Amino acid sequence: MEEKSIIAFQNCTKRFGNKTVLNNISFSLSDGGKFISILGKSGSGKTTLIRLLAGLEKLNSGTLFIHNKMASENGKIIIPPHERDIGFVFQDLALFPHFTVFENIAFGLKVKKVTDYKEIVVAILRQFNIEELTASYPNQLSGGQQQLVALARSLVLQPKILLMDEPLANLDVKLKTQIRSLLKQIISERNITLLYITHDHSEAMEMSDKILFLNEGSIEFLGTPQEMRQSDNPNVQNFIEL
Amino acid sequence: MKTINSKYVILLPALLFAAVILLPLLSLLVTSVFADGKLTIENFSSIFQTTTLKSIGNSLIIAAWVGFVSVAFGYGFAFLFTKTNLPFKNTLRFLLLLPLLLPPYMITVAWTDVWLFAGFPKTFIYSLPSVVFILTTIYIPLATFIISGSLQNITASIEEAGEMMTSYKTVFLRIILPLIRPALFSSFILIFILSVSEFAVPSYLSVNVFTTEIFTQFAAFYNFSAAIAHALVLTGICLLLIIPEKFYLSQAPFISFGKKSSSYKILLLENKSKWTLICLAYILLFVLLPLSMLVWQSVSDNSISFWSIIEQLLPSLTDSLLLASSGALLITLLGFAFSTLIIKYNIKTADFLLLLVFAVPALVTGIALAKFYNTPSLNLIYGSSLIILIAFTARFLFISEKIIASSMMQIPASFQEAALLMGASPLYVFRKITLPLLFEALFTSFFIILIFCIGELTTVIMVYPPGISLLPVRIFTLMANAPQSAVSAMCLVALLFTLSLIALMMGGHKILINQQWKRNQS
Repeated sequence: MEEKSIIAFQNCTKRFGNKTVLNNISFSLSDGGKFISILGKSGSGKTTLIRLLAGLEKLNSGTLFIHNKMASENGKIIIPPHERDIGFVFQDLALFPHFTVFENIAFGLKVKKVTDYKEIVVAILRQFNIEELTASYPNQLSGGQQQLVALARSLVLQPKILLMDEPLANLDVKLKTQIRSLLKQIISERNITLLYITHDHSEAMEMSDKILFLNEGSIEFLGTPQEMRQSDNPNVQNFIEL
Repeated sequence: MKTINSKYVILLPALLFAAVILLPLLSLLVTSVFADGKLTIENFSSIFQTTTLKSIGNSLIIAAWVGFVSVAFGYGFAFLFTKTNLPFKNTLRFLLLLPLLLPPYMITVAWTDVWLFAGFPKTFIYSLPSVVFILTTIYIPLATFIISGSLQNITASIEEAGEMMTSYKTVFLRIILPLIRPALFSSFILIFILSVSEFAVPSYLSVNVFTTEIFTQFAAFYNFSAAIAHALVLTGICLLLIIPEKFYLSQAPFISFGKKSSSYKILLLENKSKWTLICLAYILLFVLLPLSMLVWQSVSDNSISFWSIIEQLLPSLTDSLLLASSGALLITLLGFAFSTLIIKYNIKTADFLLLLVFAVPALVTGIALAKFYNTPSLNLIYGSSLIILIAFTARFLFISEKIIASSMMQIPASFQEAALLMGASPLYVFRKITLPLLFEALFTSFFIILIFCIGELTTVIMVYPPGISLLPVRIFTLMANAPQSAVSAMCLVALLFTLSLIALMMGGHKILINQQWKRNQS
């Protein structure tokens, strides 16, 4: 394990029944404020990797460290999801349908008994330019507005790590570009490590500081976009050419 | 060539429904406020008699208790069967569901057998708490069923988003519980209405409730005006409950949000065997014990020949099967027509009308039909099995429509549009696209309604014509004079008959699914 690593997977394996989804993977990340894209075909283990990191799945074997603290080990969750300092934007966004936009964003602050939660929510609504949506319910919002609310909710607790599972997949190009640049700005300002799942390798090449490429449950590549372009790994090359 | 708009074709059954079912109910309302050709509320004055008020009180107490306890237990079972990896949960769920599929009078006889065998005092057996107990065992599966559906609607990511911020306990209290609140509320209201209008259970246990009071006024004292006025008060109670519920549900901003999800979260139980044993113990004690006691009581009395009982009930079995099958077929066709009106043509009033008719207690429906059709000009209907089919339709059309409509909602409009764009005629699209996709729902509707029709007592006891012998009516009328073992034997015959139909339904369903699977494979 690297010194002062933010995330470290050590010989981690995850199986669902007889199917091995992640096979003895090891890697670590030590830089904050970085945009890390996770690339790979469907079924390569991308979502499972970030769910393990979030503590939503248990490892079958291996150890996971977050900020140098053991978070999961051999079938056990040591640090529960809500104590990992991680924000998660789900693929379907998972906005609580019975809460307004304000209540969705305030939820985490309220359960953590933050007294000035109203001011914090108002500030983040202003930062995301969605103040007029305060009293709306999720089903009254457009796709782009829902994305912004989900992002605001995941950031309001000031996590050190942000996980995003293809959240921009269904947006138009203009909106996608706007949200991506907002993301870049926020992770740099707040020194957040972002792990961002995408299918789109050109998006990953353009946005990322690093790319992690998964193939059939194994890590085939971890490096900068430049290094990825120059990689002589045939699986990486095949994926880029597709 | 002029073609008839399919909307008008589908409107025909709705108009027929309005004519044969809504008209009698409306006429009951009019009859109650007229005496000697003048508008009056005199008929309602008998409501304030002490005995009537006491019977209303008893009905409300029973319904409230049954509602609360059923929802509490139903929630527990729904959580275990839907949200956990409990072993054998499908088998346990099926066994739990059994009391709901069997006629309440049969369950009552079974429980009476258990208590008599165990030496319980008659003051307990024939009492209000025992009515509460029996109805609760019947309606727990209904609450389980409704709440399970709601729990399945909560996608895993909703819970996980909460878990990223707080403990599962808080997620449960702040996210899951509020999201399933409409289901908890709905199941309570539905169970309350079904309990307040229940007739067979309190009648058999000689507990004076509002429905037995109405029945006595109507069938024993021939005091029709009092019976009708009481019936309308009972209907008013049910409608008062169902209308706000309808309003509440349609106003809830999140109801239209989620479609039924296949990716709901399953929690891993830490002590699987303990929870399995608890469920098994419940099923053994509250489902299988009373049914086994029916068998025991039937065979233990040597003076009762089981075969002679079958022989005695054979005409009723034949009549019941024939009429219930015809009823189920008719109701399923009407259910399809109403689902099309509601889903395809967005006529929500049709849904509301069906709900209103469903909320009218069975006994009141029976009285309305008897009063309306018992005239020389309508004797063709009242004196034949048509009246039974009308009674079945009034009782169960809402259920059929709900089963078919929920399946129809899952078919994207683009399926039919794609076929139409390829040049298929609407009829061809219906035959080749809509019908195959709806076949499972139509099949389920037919069998569920068949089973409900076989067991329906309250409505048909008010209207059955001479020459037609229905199984529940036959057993119910014999109950008063026959020894307990003979009653048990009759109920056992009816139970085996119903179980055979359930087995047939499950077998048919399995074949259907297999065929569909094979078709998909090829």
